[in-house]
Amino acid sequence: MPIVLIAVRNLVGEKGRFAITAGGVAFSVLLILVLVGLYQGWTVQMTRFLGNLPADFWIGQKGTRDMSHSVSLLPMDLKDKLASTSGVKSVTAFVGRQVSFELRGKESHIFLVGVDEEGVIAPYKIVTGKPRPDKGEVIVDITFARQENLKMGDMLEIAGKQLTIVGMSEGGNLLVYSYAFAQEAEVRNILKFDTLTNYFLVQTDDPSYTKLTLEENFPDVAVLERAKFLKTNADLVKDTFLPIIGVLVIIALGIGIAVIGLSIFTATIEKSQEYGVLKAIGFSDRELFAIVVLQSLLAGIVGFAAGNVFAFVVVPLAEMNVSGFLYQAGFLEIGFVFVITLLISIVAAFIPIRRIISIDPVRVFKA
Amino acid sequence: MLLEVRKLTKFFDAHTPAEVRAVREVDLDVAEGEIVMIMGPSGSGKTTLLTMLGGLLTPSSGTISFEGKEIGGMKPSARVRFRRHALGFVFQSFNLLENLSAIENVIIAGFSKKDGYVRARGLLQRLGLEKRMFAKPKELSGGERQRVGIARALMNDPLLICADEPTANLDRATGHDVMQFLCSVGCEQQKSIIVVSHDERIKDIAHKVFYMEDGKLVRQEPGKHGEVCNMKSHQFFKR
Repeated sequence: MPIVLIAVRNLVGEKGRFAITAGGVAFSVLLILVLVGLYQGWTVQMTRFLGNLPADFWIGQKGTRDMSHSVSLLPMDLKDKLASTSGVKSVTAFVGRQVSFELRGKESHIFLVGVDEEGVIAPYKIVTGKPRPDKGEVIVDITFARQENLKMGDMLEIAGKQLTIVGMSEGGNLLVYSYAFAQEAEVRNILKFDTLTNYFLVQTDDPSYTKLTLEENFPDVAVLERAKFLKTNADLVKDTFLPIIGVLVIIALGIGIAVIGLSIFTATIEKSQEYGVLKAIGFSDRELFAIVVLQSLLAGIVGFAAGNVFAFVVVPLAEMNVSGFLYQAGFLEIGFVFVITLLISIVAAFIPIRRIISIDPVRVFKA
Repeated sequence: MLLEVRKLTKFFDAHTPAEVRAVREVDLDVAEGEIVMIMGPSGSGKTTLLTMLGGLLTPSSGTISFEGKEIGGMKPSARVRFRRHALGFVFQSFNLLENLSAIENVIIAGFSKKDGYVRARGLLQRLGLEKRMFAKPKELSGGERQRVGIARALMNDPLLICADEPTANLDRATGHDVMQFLCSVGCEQQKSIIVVSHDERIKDIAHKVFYMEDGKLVRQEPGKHGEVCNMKSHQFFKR
C-alpha cells in the first residue's frame, strides 16, 4: 500500500520531529490517563469502606440520600422494630460523623465511625496494628497518618477524649476527610448519641421482597438499597470533581491536538513539493489526506504507548509521595484514553488539510 | 491517433492588465509509439503546454483529445484517474520522495498493483539500477535519479509519457544516456513520449520536432529517429 509506505517513511525519516511529536502526545496521554485514573480511583475509594459493610439496605432518616450531603439521625429503639420485621436477618446500628479536632495547633478532620461489639462494622483493611480498637483507642487511615505524620501510639484528643492510635487501615481516605474507627460506645459518647444513631444496616433473606415490607412498615424512614446508596455516595466525586477533571482533560486534548497538528502541519509544508509530485502522478486529495491521517494516527499510537510507559513509572512514584493520589485505571479507562488519542490524532490531521488541497501539482514542473 | 490537440490556448490573469498568453492556439497530434520533441527557449510556453496535455492545467480554450476522449472537460476526479492510469511523468528536477528508497519511489506509482515490488524491481534492473534499488535519492547520482524517475513513469504502464526538460540537470553524457532510455522505452514498448526541452542536442531521438515561441508552435521538423535509433542497441527493455 503506497499510502502506508509513504506515511511510515515520512514519520521515521524525520526521527527528531517524530520523537518530539510522540513525546508531546505521550505527556498529553499521561495527563489524561492520570486524571481519568484519579477520577476512577476516587470514585472507587468513596465507597470502598461502605461497600465492604454487610448490608442489603441502609436505613436512614427520611430525606437522607448519602453520607455527605445530610446528617441522618434515627432513634436507637428502631433497631428492635426493624429486627422483628419479616424477612430481616440482622440489624446493625451505624454511628459515625465527621468531627474536627486540634492536632499540633491546627484543625484536623476525620469521619469517626463506631465499631460494634460483633465486629460487623470494621475498617476496610488493616495495614498495621490491631484490627479492633478497645476503649481509649483509635484506628486511623494510613493516608491520614502520613499526612499528619502520625505513628502508632500517638494520641488524638477528640471532644476532650484521649484516643491512642493502635492501628492503621487503608481504603478510607476520602480526600476531604478519612475514616477513623473507635469503639461504638466511645463514639456515642463523643458524639452525644446515647439514644440516637445515624443508620441501621439491614441484612435480609430476600431484598426485593423485604424492601416493600420495610417501606410499608416504616414510612417515616428512608429505605436505601445498597447499590443505590453506594452510587449516591460515589456521585459526590462525580458532582465535585468531574467538571474540574473535564476541564483538565479538554486542556490535555488541546495540547495533544496542538502537538500533533503543528508537527503534521510543518511536515506538510516541508513536503508540499512531494505532495505536489504525488498529485501529479495520480494521487487524489483523499489519498494524500489519508497519508496525513495515517501519520497522525501513527504518531498518536506511539505517543499513547509512550504515555502508558510514563504512567507506569510516574504513578507508583506519585502514590508513594502524594497522599490522596488514588489512581485506578483498568482496561476500560486505558481503552477510553486510547479512543481519545485516536480522536486527537484524527482532529489534528485536519489542520493541514486545506494546505494539501491547495497544493498545485503544476508547481513540480518548476525547476 | 493517441493525442489530438486543437487550438489549445492558455491565458493567465485573463482580462487584466497583467494578462499572459502562455499558449496560443496550438495544434498537435501524437500517434502511438511516437516520440515528439517540443523545443523552445525558456518562457516560450512549453511547460504550460505539457501540463495541460498532462491534465494538470485547465485550458482557457481549445481541445485535448486523448484516445478520443476530451481531457479539458473532465471532472477533477476523472483527471486524477487519467493521470494515474494513462500518463507517466518525468521531471526536470527528478522529484523523487527523499524518504523513500529508489524501489519504493517506483512502487508508489503502481498504486496498489499486486505485483508492484516485482514490477518495480524489473524496471530498475532494466535501467541498470539493480545494485542501487535500496539507496535513498540523496545517495544517487543525477543520472541514477532520473533513471528512477523514468522507472516511476513506467510503473503504471502508461500510454503517454510527458517528460519536462529531462536532461536539464544532467551533464551531456548522462543526458544522452537518459534520452537513450526514453528512446528505448518508446520504441520497444510502443509508448508515446512528449519531451519538452530547450536542449538541441537531444532532439535527434524524436520522430517529430516542434519549435515553440511566445506560446505558439512556429515550426515543425521531422526528427532523425529513424537514423539514430538502432533498435538492436536497446538492451534495456527486451521482452
